[in-house]
Amino acid sequence: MTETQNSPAVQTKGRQNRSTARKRNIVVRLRHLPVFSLIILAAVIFVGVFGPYFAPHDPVESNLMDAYTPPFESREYILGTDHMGRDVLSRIMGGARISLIVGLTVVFIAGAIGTLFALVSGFFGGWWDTLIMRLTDTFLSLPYLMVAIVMAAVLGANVRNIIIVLCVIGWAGYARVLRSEVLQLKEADFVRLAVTAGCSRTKIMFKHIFPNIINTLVVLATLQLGVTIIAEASLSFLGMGVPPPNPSWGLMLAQGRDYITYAWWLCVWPGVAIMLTVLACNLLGDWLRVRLDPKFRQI
Amino acid sequence: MQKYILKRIVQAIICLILVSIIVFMLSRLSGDPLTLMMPPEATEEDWDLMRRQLGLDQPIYNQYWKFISGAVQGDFGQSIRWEKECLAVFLDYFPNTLLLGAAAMAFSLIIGIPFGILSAYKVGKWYDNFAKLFALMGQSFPVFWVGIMLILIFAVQLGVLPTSGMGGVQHLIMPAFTLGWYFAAAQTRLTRSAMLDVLDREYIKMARIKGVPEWSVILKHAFKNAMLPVVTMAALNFVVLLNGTVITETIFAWPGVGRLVVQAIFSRDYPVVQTCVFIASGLFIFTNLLVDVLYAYLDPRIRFQ
Repeated sequence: MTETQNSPAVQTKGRQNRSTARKRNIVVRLRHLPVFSLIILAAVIFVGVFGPYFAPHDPVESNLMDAYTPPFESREYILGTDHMGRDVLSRIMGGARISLIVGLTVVFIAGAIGTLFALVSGFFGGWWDTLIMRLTDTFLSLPYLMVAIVMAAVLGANVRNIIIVLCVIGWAGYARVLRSEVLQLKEADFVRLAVTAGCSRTKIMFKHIFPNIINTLVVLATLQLGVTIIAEASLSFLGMGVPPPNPSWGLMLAQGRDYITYAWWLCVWPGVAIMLTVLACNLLGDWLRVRLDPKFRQI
Repeated sequence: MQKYILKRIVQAIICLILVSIIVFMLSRLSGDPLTLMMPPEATEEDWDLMRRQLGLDQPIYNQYWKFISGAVQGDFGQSIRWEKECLAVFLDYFPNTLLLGAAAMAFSLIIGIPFGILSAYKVGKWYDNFAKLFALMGQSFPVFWVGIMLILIFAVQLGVLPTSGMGGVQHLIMPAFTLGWYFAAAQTRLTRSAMLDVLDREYIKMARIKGVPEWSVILKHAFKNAMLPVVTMAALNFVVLLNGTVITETIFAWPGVGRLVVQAIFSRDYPVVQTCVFIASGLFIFTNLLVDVLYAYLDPRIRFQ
C-alpha cells in the first residue's frame, strides 16, 4: 500500500530533506564568500577596537636601549623596534585604530553628503541639478592630494581636521555615481505610482528611491574605504596627517624612510599592513559589486 | 553638435570660476592668511607692509577680482620664497613633471593595454587571472610604499639605480614605475572590459566566419573599436597622473610641481600654492572638455543625450 503524502514517515523524510538542503545551501553560500578579505577586515577591526588591551607594548613609549632591534630576533619585539625603541607591532596595531577611525568616519559622512546631494539633484532636477552637478564637477577637478595637504597645513594636522579635509574632497565621487542611479529610478513605474498616489517628494526620495540605491552605495563605500585609508596614510606620510608620536601607518613609513639602509623593517611592515587592508577592501567591494548587480560581472 | 560644444564650454567656464573661488578661499580658511605666511619674529611694520603688498587690506571681493583678473592674464602674483613671478616658478618645475608623467603614462600604456587585450581574449585562462591579479595589486599598493620598496631593492640592496634626484634615464626608471603602476592596473581593467564588450559583437563573429586571421580579428577589428574609451580615459588619466605626482616627487626628490607644492606649503608661500592648484585644476577641466567634445565627435550617441 502506498504511503499518503501526509503520513508521518514522509513528513519526517521531507523535514530531513529540507534541513539537509538548507545546510547544503548555507555551505554553498559560505564557499562563495570572499573569505580572504573578510578574515583580513575582521582582523583589522578586531585589532582596531581591542588592540590597546592586548598590544605587547605601549606604541608611544620609547626605549632607546632597544632601538633598531631587527624582527624575529627577539621574543619581546616580534616585528622589531624603530629608531626610538618603540615596538613596531604595537605601533601597527595603534595605526590600525587610527586608519579605521578616519576611514569609517569619512566614508560615512562623505557618503551621507554625497547621497543627499545625489537624491536632491537627481530627483528635483532643474536648477538644483545644474547647481549640484557644477559643484560636483568642480570638486572632482581639484587635484585632491594637493588640496588636502594645503587644507591640512592651513587648518592644522590632527585627526579631526584630516576627517574634515577628506570629507570635503570625497563627497563628489558618491554624488556623481548615485545621481545617475537616481535619474534611472525616477522613471520607474513604482515612483510614478507613488507620485500619482500623492506621496510627498521627501517621502518618495527617502522611502522609495533611497532603498534602491543602497546596493551601489554599499559597493562604493567599500571601495572608498580603501581609497580613504591610503589618503590618510599619504597625508601622514607627507607630515600633514596624524602628528607624531601617535602611531599612523603613513607616519611610520615616513619616519622609517630615513633609516632604510640599516632598518628595512621600519618601511616594510606598515606598508604590508596598508596593502593587506586595502586589498581586502577592494576584493570585498568587487565581490559585492558582482553579487549585488549582475550587470558588472564582466569588469 | 555646436549646441553641445557650446553647452560644454559654458559648463567648463562655470567650473573654472568655482575652482578659482575655492583656490582663493584655501589660504583664507583659518582667517587671516598672513598668520600662515609671516615668520614669528616679524614686527608690526612688517605685517602692515606685507598686508599692503599682497593687497590683503582691501575688501575680499576686491582681492578676489584682483586674483581672477590677474590669473586670466597669467599674473598670479609674486612668490615670497623664490622672489619671482609665481607663474615663472611654476614653469621652471612643470617640464620635469611633464617628463615624469609622460614616462609613467608610456609605462602604463605599454603594460596595461597588451595585458588587457590578452586577458579579454583568453578569459578564464591563467593570463586572465594574472592580469586580474595585477590590476587588483596595482590598485591596492599605496604609491609611497611601492616607491620605498623599489628604493630598498634596487638602490639599497642591489645598488643598480640611484635613490633620488634627476639626471639620466636611470633616474627616471623608478619614479616612472612608481607613478605609472596604479594607472597600468587601471588601464588593464579598462582595456579588458572594453575588449570584452567588443568581442561579443556580430561583426567580430562575421570576421571569424570569413576566415580573417585571429591576430587581425583581435588587433584590427576588435581593438580599433575598443580603443575609443581606452584612449579617452588615457587622456584624462594623464592629467590625473600629473596632478598626483606629489608623493612620487617627494620620495625621489624629483624637482617637479608636486614637490614644489610641498616645499611652498612648508615655506608658507601661498601665492605659489594657489598658482599650482589653480593651473592643475584648469588643466583637468580643459582636458575633460576636449575629451568630451572628441568623444561626441567620434560617437554620435553621446551628442543626443
